[in-house]
Amino acid sequence: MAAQISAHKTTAFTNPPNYALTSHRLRRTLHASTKQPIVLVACGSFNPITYHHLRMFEIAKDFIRQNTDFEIVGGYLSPVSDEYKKAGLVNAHHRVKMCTLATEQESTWLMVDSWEALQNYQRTAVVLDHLEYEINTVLGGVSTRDGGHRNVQIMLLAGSDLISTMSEPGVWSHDDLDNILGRHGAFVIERTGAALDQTIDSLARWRNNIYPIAQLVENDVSSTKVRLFFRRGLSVQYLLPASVIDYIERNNLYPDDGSCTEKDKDKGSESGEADITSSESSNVRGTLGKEMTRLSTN
Amino acid sequence: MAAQSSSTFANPPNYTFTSHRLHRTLHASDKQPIVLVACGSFNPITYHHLRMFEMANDFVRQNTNFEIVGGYLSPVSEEYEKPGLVRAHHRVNMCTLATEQESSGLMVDSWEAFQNYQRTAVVLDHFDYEINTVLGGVSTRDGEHRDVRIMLLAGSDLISTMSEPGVWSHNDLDRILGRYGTFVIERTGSSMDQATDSLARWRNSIYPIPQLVQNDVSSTKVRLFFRRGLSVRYLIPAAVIDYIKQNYLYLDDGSGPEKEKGKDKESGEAETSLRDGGSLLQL
Repeated sequence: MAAQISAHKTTAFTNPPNYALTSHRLRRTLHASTKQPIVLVACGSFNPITYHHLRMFEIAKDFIRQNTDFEIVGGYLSPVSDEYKKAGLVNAHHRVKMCTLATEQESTWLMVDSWEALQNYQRTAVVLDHLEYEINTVLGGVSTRDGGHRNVQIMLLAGSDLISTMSEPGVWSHDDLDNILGRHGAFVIERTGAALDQTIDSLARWRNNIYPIAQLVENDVSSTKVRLFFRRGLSVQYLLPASVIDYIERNNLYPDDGSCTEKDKDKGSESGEADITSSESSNVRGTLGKEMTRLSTN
Repeated sequence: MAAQSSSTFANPPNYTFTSHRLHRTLHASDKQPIVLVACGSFNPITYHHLRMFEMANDFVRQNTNFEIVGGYLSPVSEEYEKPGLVRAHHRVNMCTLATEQESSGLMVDSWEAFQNYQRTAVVLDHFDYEINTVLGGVSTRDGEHRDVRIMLLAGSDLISTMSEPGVWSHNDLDRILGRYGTFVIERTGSSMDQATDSLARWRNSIYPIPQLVQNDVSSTKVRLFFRRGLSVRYLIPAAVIDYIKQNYLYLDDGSGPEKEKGKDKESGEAETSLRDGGSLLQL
């Protein structure tokens, strides 16, 4: 077990054409030399990015500052590859662009990494390894104020949905879980009111590296709902950045399907509720399906 | 709906009615023009407040024959004496920052904010007077005059208080719910039916709007976050966050200083980030 947790040997990573890690907001100097530098990475579809995604980073930032000895030196959104083939997933370059608009204009420390987005599907464990390679091997990590060198710990930032799939047998490979949860580590934003205790029980061997974070404000604006609102001509103002709304409208990414016209439409809300539920569950099945496919080809 | 007979409204000093985003022409002449008014503390304003107007907008467009010609935030007077209620001019400023920068149709009316406490029914009467009597209402494309119907936009909490005996006067309820009318944003998952049973006589002018996305960032929680040094980014407009920090608002709940919890204050972290941000730009 210990051998698997040792430093990763150099792996050959495939890069998209003309790829370079975005690092303009990566802090290269540690403020407090007693702290362990970390980078947070959120993997997902970001189809589209919403304020909920951005909030996750803020919530994690507060938690880390008030409860741990970590120091965040950067945060990344890593949109998934088009190859993931989820229904309704818009082109990767759009999703990268929307994430970039959101982070550049509405955050001071977040960045977007397009490494997995612009190539074949890459497993989450590999994405974390790639960022570790870019930040620690290529860029050389960070320094303390007195010039000492530190490696950055690359940690996953996820919602409890993702972590739930990790406790389901057969979805994730054991090696990958060992890498993600054991070697790298994860912060998990809990759904309001639903504690993570049971989920983490089945991931007990990695318990020390999984940090549950309680969510104090319920804010369940999901990308699924945002897409639904666009299709129905409903307002998404204040659910995601205005610049992203503009981008979506200009590129007609989630076309109004005309299912909800003015006045003449009657009682659309019941079927609407069903839509939300069925879309959510099919998304989860999609996630499970893909990891299982990867599993069988390994 | 006859125009309000000239009432003697007490105006704050130097008061003028904000109307730069009021549509003076009706687009569809078969529609009834309305203005939405949200009364509240706005202590501080949040994205939830702004979302209420968006939801009402969608609902009105897809389900009614109304046409919204304007929307107003009306912050309550300081005299309301709620603990932790910051000065009226701050709340008006924050609402103005939010509406001017992050909306295209909303305005702030400071009439009740800058004087003695005014009952909600009277606030709606004041809007009716300013819009229909003073400004003369709106016109259709062919020049026909129309009075604007003033309607309250509220959350289900407010409506619940309306069904509690003794809280609101019957006459006021008759005006707010009967004469004017109300859109009520439902809490996600809880239907309005029970609350409105006791308000049954005004059922026809109470419009429940279901909330499809739970986004219950409350001003109470936002103030709590400020006290605890937690981030409120993406819960309230950035310009409002800046204003609150520059004016040192919400650092305590009005009941005395709080013991500092946690390892660092959020403001300390922010200072560090700013310094760091500066050095990054030079790289």
